[in-house]
Amino acid sequence: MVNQVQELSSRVIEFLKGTKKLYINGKFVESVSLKTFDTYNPATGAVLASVYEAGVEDINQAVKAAKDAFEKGLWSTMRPADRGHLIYKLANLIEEHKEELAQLDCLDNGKPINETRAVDVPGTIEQFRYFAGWATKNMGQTIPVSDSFLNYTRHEPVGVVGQIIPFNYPINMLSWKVAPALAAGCTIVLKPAEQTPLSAIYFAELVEKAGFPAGVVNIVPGFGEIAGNALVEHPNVDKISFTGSTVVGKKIMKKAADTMKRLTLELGGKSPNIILPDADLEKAIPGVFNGIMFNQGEVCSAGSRVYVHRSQYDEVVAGMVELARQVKLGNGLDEETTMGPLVSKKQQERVSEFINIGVKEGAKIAIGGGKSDTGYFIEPTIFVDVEENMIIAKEEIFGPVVVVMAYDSVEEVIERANNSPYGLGAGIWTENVKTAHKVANQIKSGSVWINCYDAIDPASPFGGYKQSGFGRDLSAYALESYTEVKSIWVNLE
Amino acid sequence: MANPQTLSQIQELIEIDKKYYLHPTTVPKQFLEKGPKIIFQEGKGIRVTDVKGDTYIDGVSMLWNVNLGHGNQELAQAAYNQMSTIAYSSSFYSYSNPNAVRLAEKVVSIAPGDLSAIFYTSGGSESNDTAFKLARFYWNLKGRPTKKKIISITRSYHGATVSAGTATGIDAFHSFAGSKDSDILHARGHVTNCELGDKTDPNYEGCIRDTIEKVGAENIAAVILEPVQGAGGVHVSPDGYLKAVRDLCTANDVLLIADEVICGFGRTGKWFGVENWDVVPDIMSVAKGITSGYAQLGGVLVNKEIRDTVVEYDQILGHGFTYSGHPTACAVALKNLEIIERDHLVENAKNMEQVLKKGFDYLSDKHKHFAKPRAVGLLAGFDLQADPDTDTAFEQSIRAAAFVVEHCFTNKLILRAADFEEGKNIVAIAPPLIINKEEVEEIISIVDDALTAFEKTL
Repeated sequence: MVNQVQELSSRVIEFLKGTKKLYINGKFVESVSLKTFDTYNPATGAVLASVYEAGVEDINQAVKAAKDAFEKGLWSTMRPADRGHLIYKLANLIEEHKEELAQLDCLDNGKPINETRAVDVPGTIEQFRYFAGWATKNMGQTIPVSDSFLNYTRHEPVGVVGQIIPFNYPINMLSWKVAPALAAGCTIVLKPAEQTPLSAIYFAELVEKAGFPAGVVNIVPGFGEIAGNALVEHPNVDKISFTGSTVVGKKIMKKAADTMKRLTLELGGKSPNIILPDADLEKAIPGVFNGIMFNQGEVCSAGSRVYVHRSQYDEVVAGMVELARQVKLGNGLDEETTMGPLVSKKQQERVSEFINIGVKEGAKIAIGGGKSDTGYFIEPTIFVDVEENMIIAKEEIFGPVVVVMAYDSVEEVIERANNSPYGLGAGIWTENVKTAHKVANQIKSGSVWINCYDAIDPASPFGGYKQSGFGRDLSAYALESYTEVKSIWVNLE
Repeated sequence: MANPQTLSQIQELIEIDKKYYLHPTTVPKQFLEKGPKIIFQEGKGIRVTDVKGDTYIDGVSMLWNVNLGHGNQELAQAAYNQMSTIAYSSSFYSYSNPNAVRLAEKVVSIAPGDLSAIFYTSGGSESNDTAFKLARFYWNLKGRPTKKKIISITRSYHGATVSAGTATGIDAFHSFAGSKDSDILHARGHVTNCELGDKTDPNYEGCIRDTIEKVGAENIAAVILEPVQGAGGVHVSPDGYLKAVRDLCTANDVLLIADEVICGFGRTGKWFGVENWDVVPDIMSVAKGITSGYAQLGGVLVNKEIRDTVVEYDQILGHGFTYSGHPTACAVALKNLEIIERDHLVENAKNMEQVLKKGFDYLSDKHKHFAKPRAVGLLAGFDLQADPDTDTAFEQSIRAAAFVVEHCFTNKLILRAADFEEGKNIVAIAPPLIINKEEVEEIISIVDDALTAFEKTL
């Protein structure tokens, strides 16, 4: 492992001092219960910071603040253009503080600093800039119903939005949820993941600095069973947007029925990444490798099932194994590190258990399989001789573990790719443009990447088919999901 | 509400207590130094108040028995009515009383399978002693007098009388004062594979099946076990275990005694614990929850075959307690069962199990030493371990369960530690069956604080 760790910025050092507070109604407050929880540096297992924990009472206060802000505050009557300005200002502040956010996510999540600098934080800034523009463009229609009536629609914000985000891209997932909701004019109560609350709390300081009216954005770190549950049950929360596991997504969906909440659920996946026989292997091999190993495999759309034509199987596996050898596991703060630890000990154990299951099922480890005693590392692991019905080929592992499976015909591989309860992402590697499009059309998933993987842009939608959830993050579709459509009739006679 | 006692009154109580009262299951020397930990004065619902006026959540229903919670006026009225009519009458020499008759009919009607009749006792220990005697008596009547030995399993708790105490697998009780029933054997518990007959299993030696093979079924009267072990640390029978033991007993002409003293009457989200695994015992011991602890009462239910055999005996049955079939206790039990049915408390226990489990999920997410959470109905517990992932215990010097239970006590929640076994730090939770969602959440919140405090000591 690599050991050269860069120094933290003085602002980050300062930020990590003291018990971090909740951000409710424009104020940084202790939790009502005074309960706290610790967040850990997954590279070392050491406590990083102590955080006040939101309980039911805190959620009630945050929702009240959000509801008040939505209904009567400055925000409720703010011109869309001014809302756009505020969001843009926030984007600029994030840019100004990009290094602190990059360091905090690196510390809290474990991921390499190079990635938080190059992907997580710039992506966050782009989100806010993109949606700042949408604030003035959420237009209704005039509908030609009859000469004696004027009928038009208004696109109104859905109201108070509860947002529950995962640990894998802390600040970036926050931006996926917060930016479109603000553009639509909603107010927000956001619960970051309990493993990675720090960048969200830092973000709250930027919200405050940007000058958002009190109660528009509330940040409530806590646990799913308490704070998340309270948000989902709260009668004054109009919508829940959740990114996380399918198991929790199902619970939220059931519970949300009681108050008929709008839902966007971006859930788990077991995404296929298919190398067709005419692919350019020089691009495809690193493509499928990074498709699973990027972000330590903690990506909901990770290409965790790689399908390779039987004739190319050995070559592709050998290429992937070679790439795995080059991975530098280490502390994310080291610029040489290309793969950090998993987010928590629990996650490390879970992934390790899946690896054990794979071995018991009879699959072979081509490389990897090990875990560290210090820090929560798992070696990049490639399974070969995997059968379609094995647990490791069916269940989401959420770690740097890939199963490589051989196929004989294109028809067969499409069927096998679709033979999953999930449908989040899929990759196709081919040099034939016709085949590419034909296969893409037949894959049942929310995103299909041809000769690339996990390409993301604020303007392009992201979400799932089947048990990978429904609704879309990013793009105009995300804006739509924070919008109610009102039809207004005017009698002209 | 009773007024708190004055400091001098309390001090007086403490001194008299220390002087005259030998406490059960207490460390006498410590008691002499520190006096009573708490002197209960009154209770209402899931809460109890001490003589100082401090109110605590009773998170373990005292001794897993106050299932309807405290201060239930209907039970008090039932007892009052009976006491003011005829408080006590004997059931010896063919005497009888209406409450004992009605209760027998009621308990048999809700008991699983063909459990057909009840013999009354005044508590769980007496019930298990009676169960052993009835099992041996049955085999005598069947002309198989050598079938005398009783097999119990590790971590079991069956009571404190001589035989029940011997059957108990917890050392302090098992060997207390050297009183032992030599016809009681101990087997390794909860090894399903072994009871199914897998002799290659490294745990086979000393399992029930192995014990029966070595001692000979002709010498064994019965196997006794708790569907969910209580005092031993809330150990839940693994799936398939009870059925494996049931089949083993049937195949060997050995009676199966279910000790339902804790599990019975709704505690596990079913009327009886065995119903969670669809197993019917030949003999079933009950107590505690039958009256929710409002009066001392226990009983032993026997199946049709045993009942039909025993009732043909033409001499005096040389067993019975003064309080067998106590009219007041039976009146309380009848009212208690009526309330459990009327208020759907068995169902509530099942529903609250889900709330408790959700709380356990939360504690598990938050606390790295929180391990092995389990709940069957409202019989629940968890372990504290140095590293749950590798199943590593704390060093002996770290008394994790005791710390957490004590911290909860300071925060007005009464729980119970099971840390008598080396390396085990178990905390038991078993609140009254009347508990609601908010109250369960309150318990979780206090446990959460205790776990946070514990982690800071490491």
